[in-house]
Amino acid sequence: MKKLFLFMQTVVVLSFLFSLSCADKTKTIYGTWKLDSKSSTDIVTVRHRQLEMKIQKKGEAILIVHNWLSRNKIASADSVSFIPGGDAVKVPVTSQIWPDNWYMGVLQKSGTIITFRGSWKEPDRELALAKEQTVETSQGDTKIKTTQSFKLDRRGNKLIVIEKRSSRPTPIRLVFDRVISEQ
Amino acid sequence: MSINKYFIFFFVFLVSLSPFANAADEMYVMPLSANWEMEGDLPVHAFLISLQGVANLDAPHLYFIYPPKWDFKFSQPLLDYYKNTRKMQFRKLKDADEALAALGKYVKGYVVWDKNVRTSLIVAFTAAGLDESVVVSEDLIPLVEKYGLKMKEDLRGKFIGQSDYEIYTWAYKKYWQKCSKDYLVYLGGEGGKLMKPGIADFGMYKKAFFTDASTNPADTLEYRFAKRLFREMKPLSIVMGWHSYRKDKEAQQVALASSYALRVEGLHTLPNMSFNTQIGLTPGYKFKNNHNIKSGKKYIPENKVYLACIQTDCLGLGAWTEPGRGDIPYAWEVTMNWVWLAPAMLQFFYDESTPNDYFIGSLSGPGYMYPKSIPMEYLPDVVDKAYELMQKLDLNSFEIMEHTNYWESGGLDDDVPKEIVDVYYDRMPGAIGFANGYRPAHTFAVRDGVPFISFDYYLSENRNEDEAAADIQELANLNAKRPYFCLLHIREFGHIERVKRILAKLGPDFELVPLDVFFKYAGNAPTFTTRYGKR
Repeated sequence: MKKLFLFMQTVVVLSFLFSLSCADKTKTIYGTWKLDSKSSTDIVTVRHRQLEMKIQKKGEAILIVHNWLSRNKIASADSVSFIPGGDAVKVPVTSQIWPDNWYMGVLQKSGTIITFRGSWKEPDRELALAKEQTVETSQGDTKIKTTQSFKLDRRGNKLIVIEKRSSRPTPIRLVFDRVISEQ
Repeated sequence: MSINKYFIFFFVFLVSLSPFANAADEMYVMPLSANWEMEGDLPVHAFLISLQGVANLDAPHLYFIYPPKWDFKFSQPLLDYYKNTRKMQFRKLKDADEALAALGKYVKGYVVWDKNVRTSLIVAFTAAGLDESVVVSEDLIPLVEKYGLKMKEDLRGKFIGQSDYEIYTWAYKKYWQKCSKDYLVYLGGEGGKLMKPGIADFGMYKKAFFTDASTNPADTLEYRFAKRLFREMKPLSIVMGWHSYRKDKEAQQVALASSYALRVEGLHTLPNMSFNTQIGLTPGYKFKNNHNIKSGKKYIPENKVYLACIQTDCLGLGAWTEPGRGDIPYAWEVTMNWVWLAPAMLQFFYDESTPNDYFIGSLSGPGYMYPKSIPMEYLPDVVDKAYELMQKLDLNSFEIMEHTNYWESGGLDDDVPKEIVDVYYDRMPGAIGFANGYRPAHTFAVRDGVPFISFDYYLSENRNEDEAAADIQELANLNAKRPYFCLLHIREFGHIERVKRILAKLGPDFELVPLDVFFKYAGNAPTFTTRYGKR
């Protein structure tokens, strides 16, 4: 019995060490990512659109593009480019649709700006992004502050985004799969 | 004449005055299977529904029990209600042969449709309704001929290779003149191998033209055809049934119908209407809503979040027959035209209601319409007609839905312009509140304590319960003033037990109240910003 227990312990330790050795430090957050809806918090996208995210490095700046897909075509897109650790970036609001949740009575406010500020937690692998915007609700205008943490899994093929909104009691966890053809 | 004969004569006279006067002396009931495929049970079902349309012409003879997953869940409970309250007795039929043996005497012939051309069945219903015939596929011909029926129309091979536009144009030329201009039937819904023609008996009963012509402007020919039909119907007439899921969108069909001041009355699956339309109210019956407002009491809200639930999408779809009804305050959209289309069926819902079931008028007019689409010269009449129905049904709250440009506006077209809101306020003077939207909308107003409030949350039947609760809590955080009035649209398939679980997660600052109380609170202490839609 003792031998079996020792054997099992060894298997567990070896598996753990093997998995650590699999961590691929060469992988970065850059690339194309597709939302894995089943592993993610249930988000409510406009007309059940699928989210595809592209993260690119452009010199010092990072470009993040959200493509909202309907039948594999881009139905709408939003993007932001910023320098991690740099100045805040201001993006004008062009659509009233608040893409974060279609079921809630919240509108983006045309003519306002969304402010983004980003920083690396681990260069090329872990990113923090803060966003501030004014939205319109039934009682009028109000501000939402959102923080997003982008982190690669050990193998580098999944990107986990934890989003915390100042207004929401619970965080939103989004799991993205790397689109392999892009590598 | 002997005393006995006097007695019998007197008894017959009394019965003729009773609410069962329109009940036929021979009534039959038959269950239908869950298979509605072209190569499955659809041919037999289509035949039986057409038999129902003809057999019920002079009196209600045939009633079907639809399968448990049918859109409308009440065919069995309504049958039980008829048995209990109208003392109806039914003989059960087991198959098409037995049905024809019992009811074939009402049938004048048969129309053969072509199983290779699905649309030929839709045309066959038009032809059969006009000829008081049944519709049969080729394999059912021996059955109807066994009972001596003669062929009235043979659509086999007639439409091979033709488009729906060509087929409907042929049908228009042949039948339109003779068809009703008060009722048009859209036999849409599912496409391809499936068809669920639950409303076809009623269409035949009313000698309606049947179609599923596309109302999508991109389908230029069918769209033009649909416009022609709508234009030639009488204003305020009824488009029964539903659009085709494969051809166009609900918003496109309702917008186009509304633009001719026609009212849509869904769905294509609405069952047994040729039967139900003939069953009257019990003598002296008055519709009585479950009001919660006490006369003379002042309704001053506290500093909390007030919620009210409205289940949309027609009575009898989804939650009404499911467990939990009556446990919490709930508002139900009343399909108001049922008061004259199927009075006893609507009485069934009122009789079955609990004190927590509050009925509201809907939807935008006397039927399903979009107010922005309705020509302004018709809008006052449309609203007056809706208000008239509300008064018959003891309703003092009304719901509006506006999706005229919904499919062109990225999903942001739920709002109502001020000049239209003015009409509702002016023409419905007894209303205590208006609800608006489907998905969340953004039209808000208060006049003389009567609020016009849009849905702030759409509770999908598929939304994760924890996330739904977080959504409502987030709305309460974003709308920080108290009281906050959050109107919830509950999809018809979201059952009340599920809604109860979600609301239980919200905490003590939230209070669910009946919709009429919600309106009173909101009218007395509004915290929303006045906002209207654009033309």
